[in-house]
Amino acid sequence: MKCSFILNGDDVSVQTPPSTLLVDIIRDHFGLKTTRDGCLQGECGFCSVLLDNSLALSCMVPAFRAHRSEVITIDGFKQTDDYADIDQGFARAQFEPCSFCFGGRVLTAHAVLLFNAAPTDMELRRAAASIRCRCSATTRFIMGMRYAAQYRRERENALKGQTGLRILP
Amino acid sequence: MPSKAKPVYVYYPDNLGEFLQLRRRKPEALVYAGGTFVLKGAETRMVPLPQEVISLQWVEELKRVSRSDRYVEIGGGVPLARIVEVGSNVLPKSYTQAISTMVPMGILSLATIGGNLCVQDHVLTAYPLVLAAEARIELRRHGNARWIPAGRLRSANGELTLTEGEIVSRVRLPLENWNVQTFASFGRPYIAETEPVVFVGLAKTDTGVVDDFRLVFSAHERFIFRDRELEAELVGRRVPLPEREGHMFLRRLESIISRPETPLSSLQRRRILGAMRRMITKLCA
Amino acid sequence: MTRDFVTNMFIPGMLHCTTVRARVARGRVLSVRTPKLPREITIITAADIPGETSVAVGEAEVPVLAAEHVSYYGEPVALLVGPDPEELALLAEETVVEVDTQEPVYEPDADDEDHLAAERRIEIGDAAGELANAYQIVQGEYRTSAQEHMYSEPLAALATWEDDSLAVYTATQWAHHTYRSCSSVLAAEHHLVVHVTPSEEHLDGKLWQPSLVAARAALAAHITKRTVRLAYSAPEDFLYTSKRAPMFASYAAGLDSEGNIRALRIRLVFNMGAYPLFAQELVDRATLAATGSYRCRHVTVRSTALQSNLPPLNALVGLGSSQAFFALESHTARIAELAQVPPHIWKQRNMRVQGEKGITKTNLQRSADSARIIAETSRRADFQRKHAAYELQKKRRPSFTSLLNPSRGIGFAFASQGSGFVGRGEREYPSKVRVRVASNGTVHLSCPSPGTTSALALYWRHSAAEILSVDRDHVIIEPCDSTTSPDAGPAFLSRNITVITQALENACKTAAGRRRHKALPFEVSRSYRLPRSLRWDQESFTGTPFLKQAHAAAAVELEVDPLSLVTRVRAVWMTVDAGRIINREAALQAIERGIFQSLGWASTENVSYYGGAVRYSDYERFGPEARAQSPELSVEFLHVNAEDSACGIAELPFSCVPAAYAAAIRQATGTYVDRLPVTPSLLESYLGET
Repeated sequence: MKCSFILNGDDVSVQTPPSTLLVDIIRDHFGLKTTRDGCLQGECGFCSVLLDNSLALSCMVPAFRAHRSEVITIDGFKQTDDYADIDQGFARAQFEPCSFCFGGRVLTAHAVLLFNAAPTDMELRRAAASIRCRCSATTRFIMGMRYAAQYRRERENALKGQTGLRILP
Repeated sequence: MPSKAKPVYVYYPDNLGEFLQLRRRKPEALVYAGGTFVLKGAETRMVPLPQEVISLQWVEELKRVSRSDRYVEIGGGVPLARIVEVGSNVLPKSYTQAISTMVPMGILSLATIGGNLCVQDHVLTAYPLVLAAEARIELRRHGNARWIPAGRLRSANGELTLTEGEIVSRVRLPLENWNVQTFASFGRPYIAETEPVVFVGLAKTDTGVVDDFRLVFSAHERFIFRDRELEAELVGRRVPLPEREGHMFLRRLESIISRPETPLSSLQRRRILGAMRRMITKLCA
Repeated sequence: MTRDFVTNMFIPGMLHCTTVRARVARGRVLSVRTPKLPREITIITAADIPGETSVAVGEAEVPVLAAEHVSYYGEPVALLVGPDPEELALLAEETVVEVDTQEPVYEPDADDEDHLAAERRIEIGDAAGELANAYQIVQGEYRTSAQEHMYSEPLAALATWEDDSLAVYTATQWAHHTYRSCSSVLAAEHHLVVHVTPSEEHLDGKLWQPSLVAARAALAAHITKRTVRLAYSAPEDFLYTSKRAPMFASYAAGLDSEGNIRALRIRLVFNMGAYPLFAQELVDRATLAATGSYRCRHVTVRSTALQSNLPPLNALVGLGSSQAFFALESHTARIAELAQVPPHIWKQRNMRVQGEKGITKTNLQRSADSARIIAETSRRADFQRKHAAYELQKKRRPSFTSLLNPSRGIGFAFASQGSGFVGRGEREYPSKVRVRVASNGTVHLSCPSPGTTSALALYWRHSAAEILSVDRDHVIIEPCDSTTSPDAGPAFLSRNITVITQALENACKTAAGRRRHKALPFEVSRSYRLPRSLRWDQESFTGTPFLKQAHAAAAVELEVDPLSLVTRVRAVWMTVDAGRIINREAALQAIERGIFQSLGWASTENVSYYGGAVRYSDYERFGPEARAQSPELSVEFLHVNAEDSACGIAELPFSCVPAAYAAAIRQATGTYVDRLPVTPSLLESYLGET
């Protein structure tokens, strides 16, 4: 089939069997190797992407399901301001995930913050459990997400302030 | 020699009418909602797809969520993540909590409520929830639509009762004020070795009396439990429930789930009784 | 070619390789029957190997492909090579390996000489006599399960042709071993070079296994004359590769009237699966850990490693010692409880002090201040107060299962870690490094891959820059390969920190001296030499076993829900005495990581074998509960002395956290815990029917 979708802001098409996994399309057809293929069982979270702005495991998405969708990989997400919050949050927690789980952790953090700007402990713990990687301590990940939430709120508040200034005569 | 992968044709109906017609024309086609359960079962990179697939992703009617004074209506193709999102202020807290803990976050946006309810050989987490809520389920096939109580979606032994060509098109969850709620989930419903349990307990108390009470739990494979007689034992009781009555109820539940024909492990029984005990304590308080 | 992860490497036209595995655990191979293969598919069996048919790891050998016998379920018997990995997977599934089945032995008898792979016996004093006369004897049996490495990139190797050479890319911890393996398998027919690709946290799972996978990929490239990639899928890796060796331990401690140890009789038995690699090292390390740092004049230890028909079971951080420490510390916790002495006080009372000799008849290594480590951990965890309070709760309640709310417990354990191989090992393994000062003055370090620890690489660069008085940016660590890098032996963290760091520093010092009178460029090679003071006699098992030793104590506080038996770890405190800390933040993170990894082993990470095979469902449930844990962590380093030399520390959490966890469970539930992992199902079986 001709699978057409928006990848990191660009309209793309690829000729592929409908059963090809999105993770393989991203890696093999478009060479975006920072999206890792991990367990292919929906367990490790390495292959996370944003599919129509929701966190999705690309090993659970066949090509035909991705057709006419918008996909943002970690490479695309790194170009956004939203990434900057998470990057800062992780840095402040001195949390340095390995290159395998990095994308999954960043996008998971983003998904948590999309759902709740001030995530609860339970939401953070659940998010942390979504990634299976031995590279770091869960507590650092949780701390990193908590700081990221703080930066995100600060930035959004600042933006709101700017918007307010703009509408004033 | 193994045959090389045959071409797979995918159909994308845009609306329910189109889907139902397609479904009638292509009864062998795989109806693909979230697909996460299908994919989890695959041991290689090859997604096990038949020659024809009907994708529900663009069927608008299946993606709707609406609310009236009395119920929330959720389309069969609504992803679980969306239910958590829109339901956080509407549905019982234990429901959104239950749904959000069902699967890893990256699957929540893919898996749909209809798909979750219709897995053939396993009762997944959504079914005990809709059963306890006494939701009604709309089943559609070409030329036919029917609403059934959630309890009739599966037979007594847990088998799906869908007739050929039917899909879950809507789930209607009544909005009720369950002021005592207990939800507990352990293990993975599709892996027996994890000794899974999904427990849902809902009680409504009004003017010092248990007005309504629901108790549903599931375990591995197709095991699902609901006993209206047992539930009736608590309905009409005064609250706070005298400890002796709570204790008697627990004893009764214990004797039921300890019957040799009940395929529950010792840990599963402990967890069911534990969750029930927690709920009884709330009623006794 | 850029050295990326092998699974990221793609060469146009490359072939893929799939492994055909035996479906029985033991037997004689009669035939390998494939369906009719298309022309582009090649099948390779042991008969196609031009050179050695096995890869040697120490004294043991592992077949590249099983030729006549299969020794475990899933053992590779043949390779299928072709352009389409999906087609290969289908063909592998349809290939029949016909085997004349023999009765497999999964759990040999502990005294079965036929299955004995390695043994160590220690007899000091008169343990039997002292036990007979002891005031009290405390006996216990302990078990630990296999543990999966769960590294991020499954085993993979890519073999390609570069200018008439066969280049093999793989993430190995031991480049020259991989080289020797490939070379011997191919009968040195080609000029061969092994390139080490990056790897993430591997927990020593990439010590020897990449050599085997690389040898198979090289063989496939040799036969097809094409580029071949052999990459396991994550489930395949989980099902068929090696894990931490499980252990059974039996302890009998003879006590005096104060509850202090007078005699110990210890039996340790390790099941090492089909190919018992590093068996002697494992039993020796376990033997050293079996009595820990406790004072005891009458000791009998017998440690054995057994061969069985399970898949290989050997190295995972803490080769043998972490399992033995779990048994020792669980047993001492039991003794302390029976003596009605808080465990940290009991430990302080029974720890050896300077001047007291252990089972190797030497004094404690380094100025280990165990009393301070214990006191510091106890103080930070508020252990004494919490332990007393939870103990009181335990005594007062009617029973754990009658509770409605979670019950708390706190546990304590102490452990040590030796750096490098036990004594003789460092004489057997090479440790050569090279420093080259280029014409432009830049310094190039050729050493093993520093692996996952970028902090160590940074330290090597800083140290070299300081010794050679050059800018840090002018020190380059060369990518590791078998041609240009000298043979430095196996690279695991504690060895890199001690042996390799010292060899590098020595080489840099020599280079600094030469630079004054020698024209550039020049190079200096150095190997690590065991200090003369470090005497070790392998026969009598006496002397100083390790180059360096680090010590640590851990306290774990947790709560167990009596209604669901779910455990939530509230906090973990660790105090580490490891001399010089090269990079505090990196060391801290290594300990934190280790705490989580060891909590997984202690709580959920069950690898169970059914009919000799790992059950696939174990893969899916591997550790999610442990990942959801987010205890408070508090780690402190003692005796941080810049003049001291550094020690390995990565094992320490594995050696003390599980025992502290089990002790805390004991206090919270009132039931003795004698095995890992302590899953809710295990607790349920101990607590009995509801």
